[in-house]
Amino acid sequence: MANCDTSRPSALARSDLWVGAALFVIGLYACWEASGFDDSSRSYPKILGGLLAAAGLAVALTGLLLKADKALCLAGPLRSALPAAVVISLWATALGAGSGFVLPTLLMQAALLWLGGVRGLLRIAVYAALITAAAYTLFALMLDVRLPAPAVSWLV
Amino acid sequence: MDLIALGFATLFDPSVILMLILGVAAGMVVGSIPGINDNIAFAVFIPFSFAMPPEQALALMVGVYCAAAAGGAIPAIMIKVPGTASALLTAVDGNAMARRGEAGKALSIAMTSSVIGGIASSLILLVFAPALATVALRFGYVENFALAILGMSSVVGLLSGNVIKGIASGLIGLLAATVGFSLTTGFPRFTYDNVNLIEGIPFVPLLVGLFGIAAMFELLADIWQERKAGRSVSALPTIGSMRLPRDLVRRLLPVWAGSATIGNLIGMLPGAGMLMAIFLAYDQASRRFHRCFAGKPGETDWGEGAPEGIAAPESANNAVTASSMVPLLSLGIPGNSTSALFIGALAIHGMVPGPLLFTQHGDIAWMIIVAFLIANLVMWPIAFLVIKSVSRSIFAIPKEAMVGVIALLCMLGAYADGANIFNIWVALVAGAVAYAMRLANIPLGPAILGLILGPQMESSLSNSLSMSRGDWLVFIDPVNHPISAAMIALSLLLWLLPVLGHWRRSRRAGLSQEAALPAPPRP
Repeated sequence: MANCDTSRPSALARSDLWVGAALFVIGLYACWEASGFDDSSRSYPKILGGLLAAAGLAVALTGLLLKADKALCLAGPLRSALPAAVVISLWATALGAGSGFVLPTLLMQAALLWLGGVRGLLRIAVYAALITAAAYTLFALMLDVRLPAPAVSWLV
Repeated sequence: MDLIALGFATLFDPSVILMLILGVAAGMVVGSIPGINDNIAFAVFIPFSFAMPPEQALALMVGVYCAAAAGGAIPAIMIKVPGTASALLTAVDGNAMARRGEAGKALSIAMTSSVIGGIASSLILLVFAPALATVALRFGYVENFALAILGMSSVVGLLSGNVIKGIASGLIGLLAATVGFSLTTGFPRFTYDNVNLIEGIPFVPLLVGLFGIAAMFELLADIWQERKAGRSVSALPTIGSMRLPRDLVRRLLPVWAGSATIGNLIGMLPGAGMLMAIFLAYDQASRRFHRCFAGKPGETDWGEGAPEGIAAPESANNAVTASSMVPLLSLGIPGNSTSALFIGALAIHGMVPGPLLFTQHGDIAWMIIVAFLIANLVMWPIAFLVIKSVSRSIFAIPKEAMVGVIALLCMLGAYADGANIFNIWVALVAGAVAYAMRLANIPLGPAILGLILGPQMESSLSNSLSMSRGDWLVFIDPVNHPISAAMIALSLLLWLLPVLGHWRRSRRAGLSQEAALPAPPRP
């Protein structure tokens, strides 16, 4: 997070406040959800949820009270990781929709290579083809993994 | 002695020893592929062994089993993506060392530690197998719960920053482990009517996501920051020299000894698993590092490339491989999930593990035990060959292109576990959560431990309580459950020691500050 502003953040911009709040909400939700389980199955997750909510509250309070907390900084992750997550989600959707393995994987690789900073259409195409071919050889041919099947026969 | 000689004689048939060496080489390569864990690596080779005579088939499987656990360290160190679950802690200090330009040294520490752990464990298996099995028999529900508590307590050594966040991380792991059918009544918990979740969150995709996909996100963020700062994108670490200086070997000797002992003890307990041994060994190594080396000139921080952070988990994980065979071969009880697959491999050839194995198929039983020793001996040169050839070519790929390679290997590794597209989503979500946890400075280690120990903790707790009619004191009963009481006491000690240490340090600092203050003027 080298690009974050390192000056002392305001109370609402402190990361631990939000992290603690998120943990608190998750813990409470787990408690509430566990209340719907049968008698024998509910106590263990309910205790864990309660403890998580308490830990979240403690993190939020320390974030609010201690001045050493860092500012919340999401610019880098949003610009780098989020597009990659979207690309992988689209790839998984395409695999599930019966587009076969090769075409969606080529496109995913091209997009990830571009996001990684590789430039030049030919270079991207060659790298994407090599990575896809290597993965296909390793998983489908050598390890005998049944890769997602295409909906139409002419796709691989 | 005659039986051991019989084992050696069976193993040293040229075709059998060749299969063992092939198994070691193949296990090392397959283990170094992110997402292909020990179980998958082992399962992939079972079909190959169908047509072989039992000696050859089992020698091959022993080779794969030993080497896959060690091979996982290669991508863990080079790209921070553990090839197998057993290398998940190696990724922390190993990758930090590699980024410092000492990838060769880190890989050498990992492989040497694996070999030492493996050899120690093989010798124990060879000498003490029947005697040690009786200890394993004394572990019931109460002892298993105490063991899980001891395992969770080992996270204390992993927490260097905010302890509350570490505890929260452990709770997240324990909570995530409750997803699926309830172990007591079969009630579906947190499944949201999704059939893929009825047996819990699939573990292999989860692990691949937590490490592999999160590492890919980190790599992308690094590249983005380097470009934003106007710097050219730095290359992946080069392997370089793999020579280990003599003083480093001397320094690591106690770590190897301690971690191999922990690996041996945990490995022979049914159901304890390799990961608990790794965490406990890592915790012990962390304490030793903080006691002997932290803060000295030229020393890094723990988690920033400390050699003990590589030596401890690698030595422990290979110590588990052979010792997990103790309950399997002596009693027919698997020590971990991969050794459970060994039952399948033996069954294919008409053998049932247990005391009868030694009487009915003594040559095979002792050959397996001897094969563990030889596999670990040949693993060292083979590991160096694999690193110098296969791994060097793989990691020569430019960093920018590595993003796609990691993503695809991880996603297909996750998918391969049951050929299910749902696994890809699990890996992606797990990767996003792990990355968010890293951004929020929440340590991942305790969550992983919670995920692993969660089911064992819940089932042994509920079974112990129903057996004792709700009496919680059963866990600290020194008469009926002395092992459990000792483990609970040890867990308490693990939590108390850092607090006592902190108190002593602040008291000492306070005293020295008082001494440094100028004396008050005399009236």
